Amino acid sequence: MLLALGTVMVDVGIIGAGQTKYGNHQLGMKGMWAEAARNAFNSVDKDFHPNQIDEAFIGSVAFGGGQLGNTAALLTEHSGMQGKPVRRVENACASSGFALRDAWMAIKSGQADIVVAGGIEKMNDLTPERKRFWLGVSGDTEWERLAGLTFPGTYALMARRYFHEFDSTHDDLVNISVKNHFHGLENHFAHIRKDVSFDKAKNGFMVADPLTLYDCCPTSDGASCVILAADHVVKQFTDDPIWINSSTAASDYLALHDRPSITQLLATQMAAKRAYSMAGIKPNDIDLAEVHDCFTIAELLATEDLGFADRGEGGLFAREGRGRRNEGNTCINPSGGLKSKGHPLGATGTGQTVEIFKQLRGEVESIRQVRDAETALSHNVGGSGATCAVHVYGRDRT
Amino acid sequence: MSDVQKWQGYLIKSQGDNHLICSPWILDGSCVFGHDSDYTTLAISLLRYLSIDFETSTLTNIDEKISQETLLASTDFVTGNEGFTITCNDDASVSIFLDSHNSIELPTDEMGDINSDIYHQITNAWQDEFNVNNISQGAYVSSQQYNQNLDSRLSLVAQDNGQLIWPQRQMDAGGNDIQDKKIRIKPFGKVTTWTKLSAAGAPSEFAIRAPILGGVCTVMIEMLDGPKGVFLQVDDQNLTPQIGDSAEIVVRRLYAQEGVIRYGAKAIITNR
Repeated sequence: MLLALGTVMVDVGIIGAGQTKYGNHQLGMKGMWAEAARNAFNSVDKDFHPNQIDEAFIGSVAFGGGQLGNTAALLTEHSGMQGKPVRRVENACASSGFALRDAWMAIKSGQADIVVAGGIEKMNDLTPERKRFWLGVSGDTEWERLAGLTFPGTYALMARRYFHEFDSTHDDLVNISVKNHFHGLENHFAHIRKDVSFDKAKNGFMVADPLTLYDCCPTSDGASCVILAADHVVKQFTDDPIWINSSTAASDYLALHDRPSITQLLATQMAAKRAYSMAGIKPNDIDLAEVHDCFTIAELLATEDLGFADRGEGGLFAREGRGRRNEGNTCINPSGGLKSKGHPLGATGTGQTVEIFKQLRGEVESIRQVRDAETALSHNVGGSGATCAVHVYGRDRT
Repeated sequence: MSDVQKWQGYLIKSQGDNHLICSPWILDGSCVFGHDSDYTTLAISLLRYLSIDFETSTLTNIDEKISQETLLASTDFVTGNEGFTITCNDDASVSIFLDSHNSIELPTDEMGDINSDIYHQITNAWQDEFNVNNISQGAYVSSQQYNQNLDSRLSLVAQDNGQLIWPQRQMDAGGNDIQDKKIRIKPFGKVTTWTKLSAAGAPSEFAIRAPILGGVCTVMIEMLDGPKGVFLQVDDQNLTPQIGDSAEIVVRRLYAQEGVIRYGAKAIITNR
């Protein structure tokens, strides 16, 4: 099936992308979605109207338990898309990464020409007591949750094991945190825009030993929206599209204890391998990558699983600052990543695409621009790695 | 030489066909339960101890303070007309006997003091947690879901499909049905990784007690028989785990919800 899709003649380009600022929003979910959609519509270079959209896929996890059913219909009626076939896509934190893949496949299959992929989450409108709603909803609840685990805990288990198996310490994670906060400092869409020193990150409040507060992404509200178009209609909307040169995904056992190894995410490895193959490139061709750093150890593992560092050398990669903007071969998380930009679960995947769309078109704040960026990758993970969507983008089609 | 056996975090004394298991904790001269123990967990441990040397595996009378369903699911014992009687004593101890009940003195010399403040806070917290109105937020494990894998959860029963599969699955990795052959894996293993989650980050099931305990400690154990699992460390073992530690899996209280105590497997570090 994948081979067949990979050989379909239709190419898919991004013609518009927008998002809300991530953070603690006063807007409700309808308002947030409308803002993200409006920003995406306005980013299209030529005339565009939402009634031209054929289909929409909206990622979200749970809205804190509110509006679990028919979310997509409710949201899109507030963005001029009533009447369109829409649906909600749920794959934990990878929900909109998979929404993007679904949108890509809809065009690849020839069933649609213009498709919206988006995501949204409203996480901060709950009382402190009700905010526990978000803890442990996407793991293997019957076993992991009853063993006291929420995601800080599962990633902490991975981190401690990684330190045991390889030449790495918590200091390597601190370097990742410091880098991502530095990258997000000038990102006007970022949730936490502050420079964080090594000492501060190293000595933060212990959330899940060995992970401190500065190893963990914040709880964010936000929405993101991306407009995809088939190659034969792209030119109606822009002369400067960003092409999605591959869209792949994979899954793994949900529970950590069922996996042969917890120091690598096999779903990421499988999806990345296919993504590079489909796009006809290698990891060192990637100029910038938006990587799923829900916890700093997740970015360390991703640098290995995506092929930017050899197995066991993710710590060294971080230590040497190879992921810093315009310092190494591949800039990791120029947006600030989930750590700084924020992590509104369902919005994160297509939020990564918004950053890449702007980076490759040279439209981010000048201080944040990755030089000579031609090729990019997004990596969106669900939970502790059970689901993963990887996309490769280029200024040119491959 | 002491005739007291340390067993699964408890103390056991035996006199012929009479056996006593008790909590190792003492407060104001009385034997009291540890933070996640009760008569049911004591009784389970005692039956597991007896199952090593005794062929008799029938229970005639079970004290009503003990969860019979949990007890039977956690051991090989069955109910019948001739067998052991289990009684709960006024303190944190359980007696078991075959024909006649002889009183066995508590091994107070082997007991340690428990922190009074924490003990009382935890006792009150269990009362709050036991309230029928207390339900989890977010993900919710229903009684039905909890009970479906009770033998895996309490007795470490695995599927024997050429290799041992635990927790049990519906199909194997190849999409094939798994043979119905079951085997109980040995409750021993090694710590492969661990974490201590702060109280604020714990699932809502543990929200009331976690702040008192200073968080919840979870270990991943690779069992000697092969399978891996994640387990809470028992609440009254104040010991930071290390990778490579030996551990034994025992039954303790996990949490209370909707008026029912949920029991499950927890880990005790045994090599230190």
